[in-house]
Amino acid sequence: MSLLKISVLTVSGFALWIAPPFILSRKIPLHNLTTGLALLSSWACCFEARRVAVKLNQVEEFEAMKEAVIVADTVDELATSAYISEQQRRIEAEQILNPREQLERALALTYGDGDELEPDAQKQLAEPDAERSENDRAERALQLKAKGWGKGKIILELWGVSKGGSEKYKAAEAEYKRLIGDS
Amino acid sequence: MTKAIAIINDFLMLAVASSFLCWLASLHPQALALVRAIYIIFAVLWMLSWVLDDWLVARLKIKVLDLQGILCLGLAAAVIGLGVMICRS
Repeated sequence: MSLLKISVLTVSGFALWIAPPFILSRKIPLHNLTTGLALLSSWACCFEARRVAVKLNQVEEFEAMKEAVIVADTVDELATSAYISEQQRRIEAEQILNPREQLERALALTYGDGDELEPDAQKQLAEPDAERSENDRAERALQLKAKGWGKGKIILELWGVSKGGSEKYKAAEAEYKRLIGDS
Repeated sequence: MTKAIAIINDFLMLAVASSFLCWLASLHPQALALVRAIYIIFAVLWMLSWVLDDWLVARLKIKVLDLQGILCLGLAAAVIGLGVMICRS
């Protein structure tokens, strides 16, 4: 609409400038006066057309800048979302490919720097095998006794020594008594 | 587009103003002398602008090419405006 107005004003200004001097006579006073008025009108048309054109130009520049900003924002947003999804994919791939590391990380997070984990581990490592087997043997002996097994049969089962007067049997019997007594 | 139209209208405004001065000059001999003086002042200023273009560029904060364009367009508009009124019937 404004462009149409500018065009009309420009064409009117041009016509009012060119036409009267060539159409009207300068010897007739009325014609001469009309020529002067037409020139003034022509100047006014050109002035208004220029003013509107400058205003419209500013609006167009502003719109172009706004569009450029919107495009830049969209590009930035797309790049950010692509970066984020890429990061997520990488993290998921790491989780799938390296579960051990994830487990270690989880343990590290649970126990901090590992200071709290070490005492338990050391305790477990320091526990002698003999003690463990002794406990197992005592537990097994109690179970067998509860089932109604006799002493000789239990010693034969757990120590592999048959009843008699041998040193091995005596040592096994002493241990059996100690275990049963202790438990 | 609108910028070009604005420049065209600048040209037309100057040409019409030049024609109007010519029309004024045709009304009375004293007006003719006044208009002649105005044209002489315009010509002097125009030439001074070419001489002092560096100072004008710094003062008006425009490019040299823009200033030269304005000067050429201004002269053309003034001459065409003058020519239109001289050639009229």
